[in-house]
Amino acid sequence: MSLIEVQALSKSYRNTIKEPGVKGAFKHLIHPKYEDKVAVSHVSFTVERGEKVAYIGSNGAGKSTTIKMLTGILLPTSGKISVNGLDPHKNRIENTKNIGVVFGQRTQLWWDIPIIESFKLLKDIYEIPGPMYKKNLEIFCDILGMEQFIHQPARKLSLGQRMRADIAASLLHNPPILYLDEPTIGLDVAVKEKVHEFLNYINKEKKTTILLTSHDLADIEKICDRIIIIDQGTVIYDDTIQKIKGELISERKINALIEDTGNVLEEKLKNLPVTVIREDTNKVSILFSQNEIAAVTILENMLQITGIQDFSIEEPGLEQLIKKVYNGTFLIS
Amino acid sequence: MKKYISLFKCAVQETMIYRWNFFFGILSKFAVTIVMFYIWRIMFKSNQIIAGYTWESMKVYLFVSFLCTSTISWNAEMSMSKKVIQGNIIADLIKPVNLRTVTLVQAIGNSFFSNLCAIGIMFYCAIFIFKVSLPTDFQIWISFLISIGLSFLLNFILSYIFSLFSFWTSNAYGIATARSTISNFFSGALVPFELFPPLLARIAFLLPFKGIVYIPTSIFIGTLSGSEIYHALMGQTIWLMVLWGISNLLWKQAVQQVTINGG
Repeated sequence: MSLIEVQALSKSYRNTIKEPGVKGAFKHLIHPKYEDKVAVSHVSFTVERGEKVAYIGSNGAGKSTTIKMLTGILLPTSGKISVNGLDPHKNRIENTKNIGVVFGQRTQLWWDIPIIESFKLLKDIYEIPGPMYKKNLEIFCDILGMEQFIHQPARKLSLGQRMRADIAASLLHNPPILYLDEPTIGLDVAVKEKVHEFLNYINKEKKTTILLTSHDLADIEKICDRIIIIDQGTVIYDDTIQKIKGELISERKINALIEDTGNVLEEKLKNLPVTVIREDTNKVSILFSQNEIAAVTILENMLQITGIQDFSIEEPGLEQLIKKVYNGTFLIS
Repeated sequence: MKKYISLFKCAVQETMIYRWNFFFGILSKFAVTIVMFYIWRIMFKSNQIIAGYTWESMKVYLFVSFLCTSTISWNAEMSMSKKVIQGNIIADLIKPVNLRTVTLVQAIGNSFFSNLCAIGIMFYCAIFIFKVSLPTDFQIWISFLISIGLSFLLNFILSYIFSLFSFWTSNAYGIATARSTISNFFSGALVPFELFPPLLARIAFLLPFKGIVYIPTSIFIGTLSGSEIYHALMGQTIWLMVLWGISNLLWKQAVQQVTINGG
């Protein structure tokens, strides 16, 4: 059995509809109207122990709702969830011992008391053995660089500090599963890197399964090895990151700075499956597909007729890929 | 158990951070009682006895009613509703804790020191300034202490039940106001039941609110005696158990209603 099993999971919210103006407000008071909005619809997936999964989609796609159902906070409208063999909503308290949760937009730290006091409280709440708590705290402080602010109350921390403290807080009890809902929202690059390093460390050392939602593709590329894309409440892609890159796009672009040799280059490459774009007398871009020709072959051909001062190969970022998946311009097998 | 003791310590720490808030919190506890004190004093200027109360026994009534109603602060009452509405209840729901116990412990912790100070000051004023005569019978003190303990729990469970409604209404202030108005009236915190019209008095006796002020106060003053005290304490206990059960049922419904707005 997989660690996390989600089967045909659906959730709809009941929203009130209010007509505009005072009249509408009055009408709403007497006779409220509702509509059901489907947030998640028949989502199924499984996650194995130790996997690092990115759960992504555009705003309002249903990511957070899924996470909240997995944590047991929200009751699914229909469908089945099993986390470590438990139904998270029915066995909420039992389930919480297996999971760590970080909601980037909220904090679970006490606002007015020092971070270290919040941690001590968590130690007692999760009944963490003394040595384990001490060891975890030491390692977390070290990797996340928390020494300077651990004696400050949460309200005095910067966003980056607070987020690091929140991530540490969610992992003190060594949960086998970690859910992160936009853990790097609003963080600077240096802090993001610390967070990436830390999550990879945790996954490697403790085999913690990570399920993460994010709009930041650096998070996904640096941490995750699998990607689930949902759109309008349904799963539209679920595979490894390597595969999405290989399968969806094999296009590459060589940018080269060459000697001024006139049109010889175009002549030379005429019979190869490439498109040459001359941007300047000594600056060219060459578009090709990795499946049809290797970059080395192109370079060899070029070197036969011209010197190359500088070159780079661009591969499309995950961002562009995902944009294409959203737009439906790419077929998904 | 240890987790709740730690939680209590954190809740106590939390209230001590904002000093002025703390001091004004204590002051505000006295405001209503002081107003009531002077209103009654004027009334007793023209009457020796009102509905069976002398000025002496009315002073005791006000004193004890202060003790009973000040145990749960307005903030503690609002905190649960606020958590539900602002979505911070998430932080509690992802932890292995019982939400009612958390709320109870936080309510006690948040009002612990301010209550201790307020009760101390009130005892001082009652004995040395207003010359309230305290009971001398040891048994009355024992039953009174049990009764005020039950009063505290009743007060808590009622405000907890009302705050659970915020899962449906998405509004905290209205619910807390409604509760405290109903509770103040039907507990006898504003006026003793003896002054109610007969019909209202009968209703008041049927409701659980009487256990918050009227019963402990009556024990303290001595209007109840012997087996009456015993019955009154039993009444408080039974109501407490019934309401505890209701809060369980309500919680099961409420937790299915959770919708976390935003994010």
